Amino acid sequence: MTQTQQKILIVEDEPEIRRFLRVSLAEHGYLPLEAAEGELGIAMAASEKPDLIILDLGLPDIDGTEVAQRIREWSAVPIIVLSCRGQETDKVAALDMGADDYLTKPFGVQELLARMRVALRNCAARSDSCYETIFTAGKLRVDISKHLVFVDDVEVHLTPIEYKLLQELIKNAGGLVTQQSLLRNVWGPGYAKEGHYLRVYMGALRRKLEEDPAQPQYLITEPGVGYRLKVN
Amino acid sequence: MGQLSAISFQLVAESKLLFEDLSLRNWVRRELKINWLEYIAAFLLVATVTAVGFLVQWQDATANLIMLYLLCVVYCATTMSRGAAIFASIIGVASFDYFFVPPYFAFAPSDSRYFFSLGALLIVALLISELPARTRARAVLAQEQARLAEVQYFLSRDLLSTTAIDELVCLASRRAGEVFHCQSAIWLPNGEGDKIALASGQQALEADMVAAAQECFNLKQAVRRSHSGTGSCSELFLPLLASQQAVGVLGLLSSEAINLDPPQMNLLLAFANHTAVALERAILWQATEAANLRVEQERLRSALLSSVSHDLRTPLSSITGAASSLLASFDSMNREIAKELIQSIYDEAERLNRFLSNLLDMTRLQAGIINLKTDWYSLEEVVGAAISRVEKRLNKHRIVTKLPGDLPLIEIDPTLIEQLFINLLDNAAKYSDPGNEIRITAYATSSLFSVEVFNSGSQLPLGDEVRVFEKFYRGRQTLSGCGVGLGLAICKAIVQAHGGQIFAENMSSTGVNFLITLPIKREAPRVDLELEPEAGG
Repeated sequence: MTQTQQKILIVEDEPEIRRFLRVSLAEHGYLPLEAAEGELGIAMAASEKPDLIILDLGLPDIDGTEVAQRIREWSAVPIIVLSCRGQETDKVAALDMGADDYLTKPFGVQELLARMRVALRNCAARSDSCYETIFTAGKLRVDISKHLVFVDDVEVHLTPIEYKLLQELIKNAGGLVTQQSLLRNVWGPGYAKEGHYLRVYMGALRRKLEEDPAQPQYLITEPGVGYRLKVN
Repeated sequence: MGQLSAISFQLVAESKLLFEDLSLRNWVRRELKINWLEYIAAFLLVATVTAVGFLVQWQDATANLIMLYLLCVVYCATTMSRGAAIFASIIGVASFDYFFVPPYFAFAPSDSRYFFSLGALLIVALLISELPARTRARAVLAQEQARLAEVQYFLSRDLLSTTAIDELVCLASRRAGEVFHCQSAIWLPNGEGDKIALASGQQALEADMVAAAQECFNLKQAVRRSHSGTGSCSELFLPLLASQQAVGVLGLLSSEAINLDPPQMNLLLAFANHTAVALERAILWQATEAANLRVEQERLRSALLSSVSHDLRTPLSSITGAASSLLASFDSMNREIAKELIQSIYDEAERLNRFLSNLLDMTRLQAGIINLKTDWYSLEEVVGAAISRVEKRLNKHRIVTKLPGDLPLIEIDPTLIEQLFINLLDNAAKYSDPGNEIRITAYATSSLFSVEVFNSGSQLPLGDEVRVFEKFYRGRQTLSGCGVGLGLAICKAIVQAHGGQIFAENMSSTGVNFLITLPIKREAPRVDLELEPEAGG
């Protein structure tokens, strides 16, 4: 059915969690590889060329954040970080270093698989640089080639910035987009600290696209981290 | 800034004024200074009496004359200095003798009776002049004491106003410097045995100076040091002796000689005493505070322990039980039963996770580990995130949000405020029946942001509106089981960390309302908005 098994590198020091991941990933058709330490993880990322890395932030030898940073220096492989409650700062740091998404322990395997699928798909789309021309999620439909947005088949008029914001989220649909990257890509590098712009425009976008902006169906907030465009 | 310097100027001026004429030596010098005017006045008085007696030819009525001279002496003694009175009595007797006692216009009285008059006059002069002189001396002394008390008050008046040791030490050393016109420093024990360390005063001190201060502290005695051989010292160290031990050293350092009069010295000693008492008080206060904190931490820890052993063991027991029966008889087990056991393991693990998260949050908030990472956020977003986080747990409840579209951005820590709403929603879901409405309303004035979370569940027991926010408070048992009793305590801690307030109130008809108010400390930054696109453009 699938062409080849996709390799998933697990960098995690807890053997029980490795075991749970190994079993679950193998069960779902992936090929799990394991590293119990950060340095080994970096080495295996280079030698094995995995399709995705699951990276724990609390490693015995080096900081998970550092592992993410060092891998990002030469590879665009998707990285999903596993964080604990109380590691919020490290988590945001790792995401700013280039990690693609995160999960907070304890997490269910369905959550993990969903994040992995999104990260793998978005990565493939990036490398092929072929984006779909029509994006749909629920009642939301975006014609990317024509810059048209519809809710329930009724056209919605967005300002240029609102559209750019939506476009950034669509590029990584389903995945996490950090505040930093949104501010950088939509407003420019000088706006990295101007989070209030993001809040105001995101609010405006929600009022145009969401039925109830306080209980959004598409534009989901991850407080303190970023935003996620929910696909289904 | 200008105001501050004005105050310090006033302080210095005040201290200078208080110190003027303070020394005893000045007073003695003033007392001994001969006031020539008084002597001239006494002389003129006696001369007038003599002239009158001479003109009316009172050589025969010597008793009258003596009375007049006596009057002169009494007047001088009461109104002028003692010297003037004695002077008046001497020249009075001399004139009497010279002009009115035969032989006239010559001394050496022939009649020995007049010797007695002379002596009596002198004694009266001395006795009477003694009285006002003594009264005056007493008044001067009283004034002196009042002035000393005033200086002492100025020195010590703020010492009891603070229990912060740093502040106290700064204040004491500054006051000492102002009043005694020199630099001052205070050393306090540095916590390592008997060593002391500079707590306030100039930073660059010579090593021998430090040694001298240390010596003063060890011996509990004043230490004087002088650089020149003049005998007057330029450094003076006083131990700060409290009721139980020496609590520090006060040093006066001057490039000139420090020469203190006995009253000044007394004042300095009294000041050192006051400082020591204030320091000891502050030290004791801090110890009490630390003890209270320890007691509170101990209380929390024991409550935590009992909570952990009781509440956390329940889900653990279910997990262990379910997993062990799965392990033991998985092959023979009915699929449905196996699935039920697995579901139970999952649910109980989730519950355990929530308990632990609450405990972790509470201890972190309690210990002040959490630093607020505030930025401008939209309440709508944070509430939305909280709702999506609890959605699974309360799918039977309807959440209604009434957030005006023009709510301003608010400066908050988004993760903490999200947690606040998660806990409030969990609480609302726990204490109201499935299918009921949970309503979130918000409004803002120019200075206050208010959010209400209403649930139509049963009311709080009377008087529990405040107690619900206490740690380990639990409401009535519910179907979903009781929490660990920390959810609302965490809410309170989060709101307080933002400088806001949280209240619970029973609504008149039914339900409970939680009201959160957060202060708006400054205006949200401006965001330049784009023009809305033309429809169809």
